[in-house]
Amino acid sequence: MKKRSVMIWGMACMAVYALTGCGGKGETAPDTAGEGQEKENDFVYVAEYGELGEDGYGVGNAIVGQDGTVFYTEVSEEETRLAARKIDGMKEEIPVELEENTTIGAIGKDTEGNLLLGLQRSSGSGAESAIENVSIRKIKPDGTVIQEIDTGKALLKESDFYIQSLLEDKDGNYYICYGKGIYVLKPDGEPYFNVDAGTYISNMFSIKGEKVVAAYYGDRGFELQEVDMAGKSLKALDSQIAFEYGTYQSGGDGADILYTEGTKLYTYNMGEEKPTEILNWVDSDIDSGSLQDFVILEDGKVVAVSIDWSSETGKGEMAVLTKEDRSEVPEKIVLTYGTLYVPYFVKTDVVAFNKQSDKYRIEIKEYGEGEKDYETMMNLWSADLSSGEGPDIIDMYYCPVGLKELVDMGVVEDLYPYLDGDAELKREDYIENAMKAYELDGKLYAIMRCFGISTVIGKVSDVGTGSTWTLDDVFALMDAKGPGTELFEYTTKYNALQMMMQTNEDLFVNWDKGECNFEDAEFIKILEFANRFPGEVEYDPNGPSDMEKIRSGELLLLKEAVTSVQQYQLYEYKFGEPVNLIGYPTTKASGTMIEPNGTTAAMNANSKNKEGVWEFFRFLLEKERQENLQSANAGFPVMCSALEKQFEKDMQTEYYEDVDGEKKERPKSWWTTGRNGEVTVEVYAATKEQIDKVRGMIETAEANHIDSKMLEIIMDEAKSYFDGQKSAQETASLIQNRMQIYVNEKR
Amino acid sequence: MKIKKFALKPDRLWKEKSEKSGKRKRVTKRDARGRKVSSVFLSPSVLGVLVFFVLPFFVVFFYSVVDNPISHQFVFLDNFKIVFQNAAFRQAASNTMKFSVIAVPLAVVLSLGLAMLLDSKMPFRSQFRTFFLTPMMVPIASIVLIWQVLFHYNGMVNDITALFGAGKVDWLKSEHAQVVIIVLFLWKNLGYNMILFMAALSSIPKDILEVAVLESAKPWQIFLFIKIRYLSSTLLFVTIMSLINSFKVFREIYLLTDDYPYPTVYMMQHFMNNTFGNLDYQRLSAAAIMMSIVMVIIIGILFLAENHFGRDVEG
Repeated sequence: MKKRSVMIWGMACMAVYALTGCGGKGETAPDTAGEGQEKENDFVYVAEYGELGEDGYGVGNAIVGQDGTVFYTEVSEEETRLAARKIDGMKEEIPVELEENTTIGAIGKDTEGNLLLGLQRSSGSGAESAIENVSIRKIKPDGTVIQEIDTGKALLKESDFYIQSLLEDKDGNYYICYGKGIYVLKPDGEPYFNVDAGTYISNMFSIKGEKVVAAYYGDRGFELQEVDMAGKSLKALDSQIAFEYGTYQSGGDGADILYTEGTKLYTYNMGEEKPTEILNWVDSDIDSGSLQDFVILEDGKVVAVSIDWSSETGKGEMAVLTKEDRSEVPEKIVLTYGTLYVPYFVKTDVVAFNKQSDKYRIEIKEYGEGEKDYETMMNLWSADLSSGEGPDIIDMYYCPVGLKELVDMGVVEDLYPYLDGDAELKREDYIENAMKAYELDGKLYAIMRCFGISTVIGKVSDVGTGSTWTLDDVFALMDAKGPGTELFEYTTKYNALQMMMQTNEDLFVNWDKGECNFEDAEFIKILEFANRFPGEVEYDPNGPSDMEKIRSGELLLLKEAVTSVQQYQLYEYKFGEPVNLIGYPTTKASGTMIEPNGTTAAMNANSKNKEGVWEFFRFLLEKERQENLQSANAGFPVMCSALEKQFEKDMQTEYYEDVDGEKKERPKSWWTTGRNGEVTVEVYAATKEQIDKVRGMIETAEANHIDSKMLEIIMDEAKSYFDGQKSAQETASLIQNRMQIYVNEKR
Repeated sequence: MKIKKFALKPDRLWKEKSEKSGKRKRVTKRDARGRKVSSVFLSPSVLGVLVFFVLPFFVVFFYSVVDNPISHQFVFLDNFKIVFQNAAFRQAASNTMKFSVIAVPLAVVLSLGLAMLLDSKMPFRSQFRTFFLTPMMVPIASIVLIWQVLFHYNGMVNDITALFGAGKVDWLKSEHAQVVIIVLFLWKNLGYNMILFMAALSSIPKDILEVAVLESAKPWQIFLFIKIRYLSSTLLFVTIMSLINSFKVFREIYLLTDDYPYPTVYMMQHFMNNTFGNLDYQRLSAAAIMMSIVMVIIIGILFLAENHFGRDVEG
């Protein structure tokens, strides 16, 4: 009897054990992973930084040698020179003799620690000069010349040739990447063959000096293609894993490939099933978007070099990352920045904040990391938020739900009390309508660092001088110009409907009363307007540019997001006569919309470190950060004084001295335009009138609250109208019916 | 006609025996050990029910009485009030009720009729049975595809009606949408219900039917007074299953017409699915509780009806 009850108890225990999932095999993997994770978390990579480039010099090119020495070019208006900075911080100049008008286009390395310099001699020093000679110089790290190969004009087959990168393989062959292709030279410098990728090659590197690989966005997404010496072509790299967009380098002795994808550094050996994660750059306060080169040294240290191209001169930085015990590193309070994808400007802002804060550090939590579909990452994101375990800072740039939903959930904190309670920042210091973009019921739920204005630009002679226009005005213009004239370039019926709804959606919905009126004549007019556009458009790479079309009268308007005064000046040039930023057609007071163009985030109401979150927000909003948006088209700052200062700067004339010592006005910015980019538009100091026009545009712009679900319903129903199956009135009725449910549900 | 009682239900039998003996049964050590052992075997199931049903129910109840899942401020019945006053909720409830009121009786009556038909000695019985069961084997995606091919604006039904000079009808985006969905529901569920009824019909004691025939009972009397009474528990089961399935028709509607369909086919599950998508858990929870209360009431009424009509039948 006892035996039987023991057996029964045993069986019951087994049943419970099995049901609770405490099986044999299952437990090993997670536990091991957990242990590994714990071990990994015990360490942290601590960075020591060193600036590259002396005052007045920008950093043009930079690579890291296998011993951790960074080799870089220092470029000023007068000269280009080569320098090295060792891992101990010691800097030395490497003597390089350069002929007149010769620059170092790229620095490369061979497999023995020597440097390769790609030298380009130009016909002059101005913007219109062209490259007339290309040579490769192989030197020792002390500057001693080993080999000089003068290719003359042999490589100058493309009009826009420039050396992007170069390297040498084990057999002594040279590889010169020139943007869309790679030239291969024999060891004696004789041209061997040329491979054309047909698209911009973002990285060229070698695997142990044996295989040379090009990384680029091809027809099948991001690809790694090996240079096939026998076939004189590119062939797919035989790898077990798929690679995403990133920065790819040679793995040196330790690995085949060393690469950065997103914010993380990985090593990968051919034949392995997955890469090895080394570190997260953001944890070491490094913006992975600016990385030029990186190397893992034998002792495990990581040396990285980055160039901030958004800075005025091209600021270079070297970082030596040492793996240290976490307990030995001064602790900071960790804040999390949660986002579906990481916008590049968020990385920059987070890294800048982390570097200057002694108390807090922000870690980015990317829900879309890896190959997750949208629904999966949305589920993870919403589960985190609804459980109260969400990130301290909620990204609003890629936020999957609208501001109202977040407010209804009680997830986001009102920021006005923080702003009003701040000793330095004042509510009235910021542009009112920019702040209103994330305001609801008098409460501020998110802040944006800078913004752009989405608008429509046309000639004054076509659109007049008013601040807004209606669809009737647009119809009149279209009818006056005749059928051969395009209103907007490359715009389909759906594009047109979308842009009209972005501006006018709120005209048809009264959220307070829970009513919508999509059967209104104005909405039917929008449908009819959109129906005037083609169903499909095909981009013609050989067709005339937008500027040519505008100048010839084939194209009337441009729809653009204006992010700088210089951009406005470009449009004036393109149209060739006075322009008006009239905005999208609407019956409202304004057809221009404010759109975030930089870090835009909300504070999680459930955050345990609200003070820290506000520290980050005030870092973004404070004068210094607002006055230094760095990149030319980063957007307009939200701080009024910073915007005015920016306008002043835009109006200031800058000069340089040419080779004859003559003082000439320096362009503030330039664009290449035209069918093949043959027209270079240089933009100089803005006039007061130009500034006033941009200011006027900003002052009248309104918040853009597009409801993606509403847009989806409208697009869905509009299809049958565009296909000619239903009338505009029938379509509007259907939209009204479905939309009324949506509006009712949302109340 | 009086139905003969064949046997006593086991619980009633035990009760009568106990009453007759006049003393309570002594609980032996063996019985106690047996209970312990059985409770050990039961515990995983009880635990599963607690974790996966009871606990989530309390979580849902909790969410329904707080302002949002983050601040957890108690608002008592405010969420219920908000949901009840919401026009979309009321429309969804009305549509769902209308759909169930029409579709469920139709599903029960038609499947019973079919079962009776196939229970008679008609030719090709097994072929018909297979034919009616086919929709059960078709995956939901294929069902939706078939229905789209049939009822799309450019679908087959409009092509056929056009042959007779009729204009095009947007079946899924007009007042006809609910009719299409009812047809789809019946097409999908009749076969299963029919099999249940056929099984129940075959279990009716033959001698009673023979006696009824000998007593010169008319076919409608046999059907009403014998068959329906013996089918009462199956009728209840089929009705409950059809009711549950009528709530589940959302899946087909969603795949056919997306999350914001034409108003007549906007169902309760649309409301709940959309509020879940909008992370509005408090309204979702309130709506779910209100719906479950209604379901409990309906099922309770059905049980009472079954007890009433099938009270003198052993089943």
